[in-house]
Amino acid sequence: MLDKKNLIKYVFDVYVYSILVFFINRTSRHTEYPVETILAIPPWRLQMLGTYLPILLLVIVAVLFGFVTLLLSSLIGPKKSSRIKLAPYECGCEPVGTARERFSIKFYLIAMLFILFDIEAVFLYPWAILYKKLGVFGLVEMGVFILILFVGYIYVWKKGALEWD
Amino acid sequence: METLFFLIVSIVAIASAVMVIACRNPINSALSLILTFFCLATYYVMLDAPFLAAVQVMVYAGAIMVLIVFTIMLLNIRIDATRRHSHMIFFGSIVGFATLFNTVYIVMKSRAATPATTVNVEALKAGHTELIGREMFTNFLLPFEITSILLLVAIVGAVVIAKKKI
Repeated sequence: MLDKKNLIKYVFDVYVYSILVFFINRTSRHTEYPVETILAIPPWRLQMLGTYLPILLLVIVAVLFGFVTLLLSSLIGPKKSSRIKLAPYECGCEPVGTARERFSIKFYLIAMLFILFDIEAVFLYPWAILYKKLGVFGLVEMGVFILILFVGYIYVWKKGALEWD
Repeated sequence: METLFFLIVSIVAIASAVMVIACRNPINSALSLILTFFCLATYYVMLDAPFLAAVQVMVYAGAIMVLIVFTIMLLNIRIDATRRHSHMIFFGSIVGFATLFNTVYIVMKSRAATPATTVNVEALKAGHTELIGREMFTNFLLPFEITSILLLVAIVGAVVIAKKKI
């Protein structure tokens, strides 16, 4: 019933769970409230910081990976520099002009439009969570919001701002 | 444990904020600013505000930073140009200190108004994102719809300013 593969997975799960429990117990800040109040809160919200532990581990591993890789290559890598090696790499061609070129305004336009529609997307998240509670009222509300921005989208499209000319 | 974590994040936040104004290369300043934004997102998580944390990373560390980096690349600031504009440091520090005093004043005032333990049980029961949504789609319905007009104006403005031939 419990073959080797399942056993390893089981041991790993118990290990991760015990770390989580340890972290949750240490970071619980809700002890000053009476028991009934705490029981009314859904458990996944009470264990807020504990549930963020994987993200914290990811950040730590990512930062360590960057630092350790750079440190190791600077410590044990050979350093014999020549003029050609130190030249900036431009797809194997000879570098032309300086690296500090002025960029086209077209990039700025794309970035600006990206931000504006990004903010529109941010408003969709709370609406999506409340979708069932708001019902038709919420649908109409968000419909008006999207419609006004859709006018902007049509304007951008018709003016050719999305084209790279 | 949490106090220790808070201290570590604070040190990183202050160090990266100092790097923003101390770096000579504007691109380095922009990258330090991303780190500051991530520290702020961590604070929001610690204050039980995960929606704000997500918005902080998505809009500020993502979109606004793209805009700042593009602006730096557009303006093409040379490193030796910083010496010519040294008189701006004086006016910049006046604005900076005014903002600092303003922030300290608001924090002191709000701390006097609310009790020391600020764990909002109501917010935890309903969930932070749902609470924001409920307020936004009922009490603040008109401001929410006006936001779309504001975004529309910004879209039109961006096209008019940045497009060569309209």
